[in-house]
Amino acid sequence: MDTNTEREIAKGLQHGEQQAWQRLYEGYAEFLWRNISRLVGNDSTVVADIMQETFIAAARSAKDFNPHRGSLWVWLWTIARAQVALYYRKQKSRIGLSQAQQWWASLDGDKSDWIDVKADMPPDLLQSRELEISVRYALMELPGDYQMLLLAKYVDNHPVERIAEQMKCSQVAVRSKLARARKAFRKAFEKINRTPSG
Amino acid sequence: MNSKDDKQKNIRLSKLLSVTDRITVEPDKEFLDRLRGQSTAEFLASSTNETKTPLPVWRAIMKSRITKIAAAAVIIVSVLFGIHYSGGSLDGASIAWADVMEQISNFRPYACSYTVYDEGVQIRSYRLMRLSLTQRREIRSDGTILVFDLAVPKLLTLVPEKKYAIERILDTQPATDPDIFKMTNSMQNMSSGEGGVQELGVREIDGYIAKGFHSRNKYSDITIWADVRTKLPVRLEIIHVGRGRKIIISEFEFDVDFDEALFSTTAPEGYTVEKLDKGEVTELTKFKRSTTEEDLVEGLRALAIFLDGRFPPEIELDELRVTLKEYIEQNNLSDSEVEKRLAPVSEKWTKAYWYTMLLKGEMGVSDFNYVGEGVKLGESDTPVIWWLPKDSETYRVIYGDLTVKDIAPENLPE
Repeated sequence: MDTNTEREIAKGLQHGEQQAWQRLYEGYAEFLWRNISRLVGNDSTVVADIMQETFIAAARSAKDFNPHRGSLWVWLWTIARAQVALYYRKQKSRIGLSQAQQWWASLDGDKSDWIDVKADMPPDLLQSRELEISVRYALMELPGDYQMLLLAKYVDNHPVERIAEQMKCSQVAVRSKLARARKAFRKAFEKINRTPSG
Repeated sequence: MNSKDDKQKNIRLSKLLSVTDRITVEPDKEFLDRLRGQSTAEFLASSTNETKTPLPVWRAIMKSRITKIAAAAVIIVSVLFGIHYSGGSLDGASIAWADVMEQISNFRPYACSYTVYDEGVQIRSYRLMRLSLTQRREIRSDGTILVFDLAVPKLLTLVPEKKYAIERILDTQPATDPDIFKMTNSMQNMSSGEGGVQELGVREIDGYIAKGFHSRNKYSDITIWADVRTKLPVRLEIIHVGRGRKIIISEFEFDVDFDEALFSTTAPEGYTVEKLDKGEVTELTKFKRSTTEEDLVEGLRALAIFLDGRFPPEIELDELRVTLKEYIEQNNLSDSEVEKRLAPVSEKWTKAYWYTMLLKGEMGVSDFNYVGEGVKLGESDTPVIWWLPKDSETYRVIYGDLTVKDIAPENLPE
């Protein structure tokens, strides 16, 4: 979404214009669904419930949206991230995590180099369900803006310029934050695979 | 910057994170259509002043596991706490804002936990004990204790691990400081002109069945969750609008019978005490202010030489300690070798560390980044640290060969 469109939508939201809300919805609903699904998996009921909570909360606070504090996407993702975190907290046990931790502990190989992305991870590992669980839990440990950056840059493969536009900040801020996000992810991934789940 | 290595790392990270994309679910178009209608109605209802009551919300209700679990939890907890659940008492009707105000209209000693976030990143957490509106004791996560008595006004800082104390006369007028009682009162005051206190409904918050109240003005956005049974706060969320700072206050205990000695601003016996009058600074502050960029460079050099020519993965003290310990164990260094090799490193890094504190604190730099992991001493085109000095348009960057350059933002590595 380009800056002008964002500005128009933000203005419309502040004035309670229906069209502005619908443009926001059209612009982000599917994208938000996909990103939530990346964090919670393929249970459409769970994704739908988080989507619903997110958009209802957003609708209630949209008139107070302040474009100076970040882009529409950052705002929406912040709300969604809180709902995803709530979903994770409400899980009675950390589903599959303990199994994933045991799997990780049993692996041979240069695990620290894999975490530090200094060496290629074997393809069969990349295909494993346990790795997917660990990566999701590690992402959930991160602040929303780090999640957003890592998914945009490394999963959606968006260039820095596009991410900067999406987050409404400078390219240098994106680069700099990416460095911190990578570091935070490595730490979280290491921590997740070290901590026995409760 | 070694761009080939960098590219490889990016590809690997991309492969790792893309595992989240393997098992996802495609958007449910029918659901999204319904949600468009529902959220639009909600938006329009919220945007008009005609009603402050939210429209009845259509939900994926009861088909959804989350909703079922939440509903079941409310009922189970209500039974455990003896709350009469008759389809009405937990919908919030049993507790109004006035009830919460009544509970905390007069000060009562309390304890709670503070967690402070800047731009989503936790920067501080501490346990607070408040004896009165002028006396408080904070126990920080690193063990440091701060005791304030604003009636004097005086601050006592205790570092129990080192039996070290600072007694400081504060350079302010005697005052009381903001606490939850004042905050809630300020919410009350907002009610006339700022849109009032809005009810958020009932939820499970930190293990309590709690009702939420929300208020916002141009400076702050405050949400209070109060236990529906006791009507006392269980959680406060304060957002400083425009500053990106969020404070969460939770784990309350009310009417605590504190030992008043905990709030004395005189250091306990056995402590080494530094006494400071108004405006005086500690020896540590004097030392910190004497450090320079050159100290940082020399500290980095000493560390890299000790670690066989590589910069450490992190420079925060706890992580650095682990790196050094691992290196010593892996290389079977004897005690005498450790003492001989580590002493100069320690001396140099102490100065370097305090310079980083000075940069991040008093000098007010932004965007301080250490990226020395994997960098070898001597690599002239790979950055190790960068930061943006206050009011500067260019970054200060220290490279692997320890040269320092001013770099335009667009030339920072990706």
